[in-house]
Amino acid sequence: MDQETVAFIIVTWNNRDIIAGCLDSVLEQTGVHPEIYVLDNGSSDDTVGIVRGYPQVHLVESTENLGFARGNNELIRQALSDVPVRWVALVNSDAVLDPDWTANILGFVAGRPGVAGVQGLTVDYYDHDMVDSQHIYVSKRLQGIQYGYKLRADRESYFPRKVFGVNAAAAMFSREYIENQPDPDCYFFDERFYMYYEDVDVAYRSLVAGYDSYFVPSSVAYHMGSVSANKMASMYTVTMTARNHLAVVYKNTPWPVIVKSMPDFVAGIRDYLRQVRHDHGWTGAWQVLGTYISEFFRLPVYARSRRAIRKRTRLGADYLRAIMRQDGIRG
Amino acid sequence: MFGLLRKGLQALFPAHTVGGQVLRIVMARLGNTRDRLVANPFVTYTKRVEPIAFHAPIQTPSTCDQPLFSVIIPFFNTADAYLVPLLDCLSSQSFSDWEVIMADASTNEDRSWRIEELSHRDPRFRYVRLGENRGISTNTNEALGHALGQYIVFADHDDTLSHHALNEVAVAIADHPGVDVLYSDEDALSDDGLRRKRPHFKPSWSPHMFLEMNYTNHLSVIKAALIHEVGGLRPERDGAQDYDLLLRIHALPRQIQVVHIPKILYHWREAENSTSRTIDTKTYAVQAGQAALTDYLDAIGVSHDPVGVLPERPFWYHCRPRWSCRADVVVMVSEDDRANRHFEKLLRGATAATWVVPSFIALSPACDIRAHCDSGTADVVIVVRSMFLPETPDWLDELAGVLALPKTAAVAPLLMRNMRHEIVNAGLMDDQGRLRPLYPGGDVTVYPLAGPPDLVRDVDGLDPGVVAFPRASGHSELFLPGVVDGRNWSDYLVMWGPVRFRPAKIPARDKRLNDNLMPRGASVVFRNSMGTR
Repeated sequence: MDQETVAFIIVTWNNRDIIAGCLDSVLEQTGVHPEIYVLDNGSSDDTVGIVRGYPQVHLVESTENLGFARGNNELIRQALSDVPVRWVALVNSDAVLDPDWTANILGFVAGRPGVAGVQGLTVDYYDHDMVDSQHIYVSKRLQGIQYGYKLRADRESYFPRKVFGVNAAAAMFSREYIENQPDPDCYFFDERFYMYYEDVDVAYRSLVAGYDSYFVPSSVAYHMGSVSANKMASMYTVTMTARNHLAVVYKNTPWPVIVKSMPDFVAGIRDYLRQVRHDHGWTGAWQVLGTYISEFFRLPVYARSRRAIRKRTRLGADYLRAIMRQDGIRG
Repeated sequence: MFGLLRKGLQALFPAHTVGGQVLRIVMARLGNTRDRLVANPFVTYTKRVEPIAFHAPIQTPSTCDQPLFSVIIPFFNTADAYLVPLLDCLSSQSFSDWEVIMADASTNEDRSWRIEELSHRDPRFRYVRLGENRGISTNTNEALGHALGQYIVFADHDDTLSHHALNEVAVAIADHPGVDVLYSDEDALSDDGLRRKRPHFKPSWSPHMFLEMNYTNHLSVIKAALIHEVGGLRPERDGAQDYDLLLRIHALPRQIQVVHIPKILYHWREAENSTSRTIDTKTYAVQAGQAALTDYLDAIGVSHDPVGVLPERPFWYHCRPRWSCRADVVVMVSEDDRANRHFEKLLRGATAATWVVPSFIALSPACDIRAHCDSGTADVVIVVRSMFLPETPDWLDELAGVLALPKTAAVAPLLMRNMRHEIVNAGLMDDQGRLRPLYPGGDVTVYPLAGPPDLVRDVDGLDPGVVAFPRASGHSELFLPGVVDGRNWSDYLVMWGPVRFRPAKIPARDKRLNDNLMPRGASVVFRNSMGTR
C-alpha cells in the first residue's frame, strides 16, 4: 500500500452528539491513510469518552480551553513531527467529509508546488443544496467573508480555481506552507486571536506571501455551521470578530491598499455596527465600537508580525485590490 | 446617525446642483445610498448579464495525449503585476484540456527566473527558454514548434483571459466541428487591473471589414494545421504579424470557416508601454499591416492602389481594389422633373473614373432596369435611385473595385445628411427577423460599442438608394426597387464606408423653380425612397 498519509486535525469542545460522525467520515476516506489527531479543549460532556472509542485516534486532552487557534497549532506541531505527511487536513468537529474528499484534493494538487491550502465545496449539513463556503476572502471593505455562504449550490457551474484562501472548517494545508510561515510570532494560526478570523489571517498571509490556494468543487464536505460557537454568548462572537478584524487588516495589508480602501473600510465598519445595533441594541453597538477603539491602540502588539509579513510580500498591491474587488477569485 | 448626516448633506446640496451630483456620486461610492442611477451600464453588464451567459464547464473526450488548445504566450521581461494575473486566470480556466507554452525571451535574468518559477505552479504550463530575443514572430514560431494542441490560442503577456474563455471556445468548436478560425469580443483593462472598460462587441465574420482593420484580434484561435500549412508567422511583418498570418490563411484557395463567439473573453490591458497607449512609437506596425494587406490583395489576384491608412485612426487601413471594367450608371429620374435632370448633370460632373468606363442611363422609375442592362456589355451596374451625390469624384472606381473582391454580391456607399456628420443609411441589419437600418440619424464621429459607424461592414440588407453590383450577378432582386435583402445569400452585401454620398444641393433659384414645378407628391416619393426618417 503506497497510499499517501494525511494528518487529520480535529479540535473538539463539548461535541458529544456530532464528533462520532466526523471521526467516522474521516476513517472512511478512500485512497489515503489517515492519521487522526484530536485535541479536546476540556469538554464538560463525554466527548472524550466517545473519542476514546476509536483506538486509531491520537487523543490529546487539555484541562483548560486553549481556543481554536492554539488547539490546532498544538496538534499540527505534533502531527508534523510524528509522521512524514505532506498534507494536513483541518476538519471542524461539526463537519463531515465525503468519502472522496481527500482523494480528489490530492489528485488535484499533484504536480502543483507552492500551494498553501485547498478547500472543497463545503455545503450545509442539513441541506446539501445550500453552500456553506467555497472559499474565504477579504473584501474590498477589508472584511473577511465566506464566498457562497447561503447560496444555492449550482454544481454544474463549478470548476477548480485559484482563490484568496480557504475556510478552515474543512481544508487541507501543505507542510511546505506551514513550515515556511512568514510570521515569526505564529506557528500557524495566530494564538493571540483566541477565536474567530484566524483562518482569514492564515489565508491572507499565504496570499500576500505568494502561495496559491485552490477551490476544488469535486470534494464535498458537510458543515453544521457554528454549532460550537452558538453555545457561547453571541455578543462574545461579535466582540471577538471586531477585535480580530482590525488585527488581520493591520498585520497583512500593504499600506497602499489600506490607504486606497479606507473609504470602503470605514463604510464596512459602519455597516457592521449597524448590524450589531440591529441584533443587540445600542449597548452592543457602543461596546463593539469600544472594542475597535481599544484594539486600535493594541495594534503595536502585532507590529513585529506586520514587519515580517511585509518583508515576505510577493503579491502586488494593485493585484491584491483586484482580487478583493472580484470576491477573492484570482485571475 | 449616518442617515441623518446624509439627509443633512442632501439638504445642503440639492440634487439639481453640481454639488448635489458630486454628493450623489460620493454617496454611491461609499455605499451610503440606494441610488442605482450612477451605476455604469457596462459594470451592470459585467455583474448581471455576463456571468449567466457563460456555458457550464464541458469535458471533451480526450483523444490520445494531444490537448485541444495550446495557448502561446511570448514573455519578455514581464513584470510580476502582469505575469501573476495572467497565469492565475489560466490556472483557473473552467475548461481543463489545454497547455500553455510560455516562450520566455527575457533579457533580465531575475525576470526569467521568476517566470520559470511560476511556470512550475501548474502541470499544464510548459516553460520554453528562448536563446535570444529575435522578435515576436520568431519567438512565437519557436513556441509553435513545441505546441501539441489542435488549436492555437494567442495571448499577450500583459493581458488576461476570462475564466470561461477556453470553455466557450471549446463549446463553439463542438457546435461547429472542423472550424478553422475563432474570435471573440474583448474589452480593455486599466493598467492596475481594477476596471474593465471600452467593451468591443464585434460583428460576426465580415471579410470586407477585416480588410479595414484586424478586428478579430483578440481572442484569436486558429487551427494548428492551418498555421503550419502557411508556414507560421513571418518576421518581416513584425508588429502586424497576427494580421499577416490571418490574411495569408484567408488567401488560401479554399473555404475558411470562421466563427465569432459573441462574449467578452479577452481583457486587453492598457499597459504603459503597450500598443493601446503609445501608438506613435509603433508606426512600423502600421507599415507592416499595409504590407500584409498588399500581399493579401496580390495573392488573391486583385489589382489595387497602394494601401492607405485612415488619418485619425491608426491600425485602420484603406485598401482600394481596382477593376478595369465597363459600368452602366442607371440614374432613376422622374419625367418633367428638373431637379432630377440637374442631379444627373451633377453626377456626370462629379465623376472622374480612371479604371471604369461609365455609360450613363437615365430611366424613369417605372422602367425595368434589367431590360436595359441585359442588352449592354457592361460588367457592373450602378443604380442611383435617390438624389444623392458622391463626396469624392473617384467613387465609381472605388465601388466597382470592391466588386472585384471575392464573394461580393453588391456594394453601397454610406449615405449622409448634407453638411452634417449625421448618417442617413449605413446598411440594414437583421434584428429578430426584421431588417433595421444601422445607426439611423447617428453621428459618424461618435464611437458606439460595435465600432465606428462609418466602417466597412458586411450587412444583411442594403438601402436601394445607391447600389453597385455585377451585371452577371445571380441575384435578380438587385434590379428591383425596394430594400436588398441578402440574409440568405452565401456572398456578402458590403457597406463601403470610405465612399460617401450626400443629398444633391439644389441652387436656391432652381429650388424655387422646383417648388413651382414639382408637385408636392414628388418630394414625398423622394422621402419614401430613403427608407429612413
